[in-house]
Amino acid sequence: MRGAAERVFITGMGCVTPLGATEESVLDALTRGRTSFVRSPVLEGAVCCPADPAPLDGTSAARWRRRRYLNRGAALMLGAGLRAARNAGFADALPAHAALITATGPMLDMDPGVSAVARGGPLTDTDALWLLRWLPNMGGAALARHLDIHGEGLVLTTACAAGLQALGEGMRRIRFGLTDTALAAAGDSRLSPGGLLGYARARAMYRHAGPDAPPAPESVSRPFDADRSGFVPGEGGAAFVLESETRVRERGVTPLAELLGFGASLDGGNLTAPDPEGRFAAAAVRGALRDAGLEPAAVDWAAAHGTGTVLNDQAEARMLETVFADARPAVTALKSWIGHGAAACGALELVLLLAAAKAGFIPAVRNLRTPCSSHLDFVRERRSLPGRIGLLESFGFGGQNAALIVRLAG
Amino acid sequence: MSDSVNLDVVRRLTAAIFECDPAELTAETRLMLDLPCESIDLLELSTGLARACGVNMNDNAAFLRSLEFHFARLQREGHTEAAEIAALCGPEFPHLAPERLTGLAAAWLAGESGPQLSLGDVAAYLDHARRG
Repeated sequence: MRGAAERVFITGMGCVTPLGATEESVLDALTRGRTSFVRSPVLEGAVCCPADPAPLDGTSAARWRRRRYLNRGAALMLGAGLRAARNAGFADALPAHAALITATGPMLDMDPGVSAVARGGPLTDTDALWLLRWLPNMGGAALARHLDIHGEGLVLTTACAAGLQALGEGMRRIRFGLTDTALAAAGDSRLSPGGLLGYARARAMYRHAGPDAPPAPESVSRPFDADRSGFVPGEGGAAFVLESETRVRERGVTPLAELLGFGASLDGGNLTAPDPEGRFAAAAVRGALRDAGLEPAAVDWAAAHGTGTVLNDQAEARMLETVFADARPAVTALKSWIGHGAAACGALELVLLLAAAKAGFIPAVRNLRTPCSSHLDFVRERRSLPGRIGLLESFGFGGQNAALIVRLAG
Repeated sequence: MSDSVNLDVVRRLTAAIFECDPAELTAETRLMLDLPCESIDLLELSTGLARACGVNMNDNAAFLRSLEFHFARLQREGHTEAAEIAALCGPEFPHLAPERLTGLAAAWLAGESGPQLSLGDVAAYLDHARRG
């Protein structure tokens, strides 16, 4: 597939995460072991991991009046996208023909006025344009407006696979010559009452119950641990400027990483639980390897989806054992640091990996005491980066599987 | 002169939309010329006023949307004096005082560009709607 196709590089990164909104703050948190897990103020027994600072603080959209029309996920995406453009050396505008591929989740931070209407209250209790907070393309529309983007716009709402898919779709467009520049941007938040209730009802989320004192909030996101009991919702925005090798040379910029391959698949099975054998997740990973022209042994490290739910981690561990039967990549799981960023999770985790890689290490899986697999080489203490080629995985409700292979700069 | 209570509501909601201090806004502040007002801001102002005052907003009248259309129609029909045009338009905009409508017609005849809609005009609409 590669042929004479263009190589694709990440030339700019921007974020608003629970570890901060700059590469420096993310690196500082990873180095010091600082996290922002707290007890949820809106749902008893739940823990969440809020982003900090406010989504648009420090950006050119901080005083933009239309920000009131963005739901929190869209605002986080906008904040991240503006930072990514600046980081890539585009102060106020991307090339007009750039593609904009965004990843968003469902808009569960429902306008209270809408709830009132649903209970029979007057229609005038809603803002005139509350609809905009529900439309999934508003984060992208805001980015296009602020960065003067006029190329193709796509919105991916493929659950928790969306962030990695945005990167993959951007990579494909550049590789096959549809454009030479793309902004892949993801933003999501499920910390609102609507978001937390949804996952609490689905029993996928960690929630303390019983008479005992609840454990420390920072201890409950524990991917691949025998005592894991559900994911901890997080939130954030992460965005990447992708450019062709030709553009990288023309602009004389230094890439942060190269995107080598992308794979995606559908379980076509259960609406929530993953395929127990991880067969189609494996197909996505193998597809990414094939796309990159690599054997499993070439992969130095893997950032697992690792939600901390019983079913996901079990299926994912089995899948990794199978795909990497003859290889032992270092396996980390970054939701132990920032919670589950939902539609943005893959993109957020790439931010953490790039920040840590610059300092030469791969972050550990936090809270991993008793690994659920003895075959996988889990990163239990921070360790030196084992190599430049890595795999990221995201698996979403509905059986959406995505895998991305990157080569870090260096 | 508008009821000051209604003008205060218009100033408060306008200030919230434009994120400014209500004290900076007066009856003479022109929405489209003095503020960065776009159609979606008028939509928010309209729904906000409907909610705050319990009135059914007719945006065409409240925001003088068809004002210039009527002026142009009357001019085409041979009316060239501001007072005359204002008098003939009066039934379309019953909330505006004759002297205000005459002033608007005179500005239009003098070629002053852009919608002159002021916060005072919107407050006058509320006065009229709440009385009616």
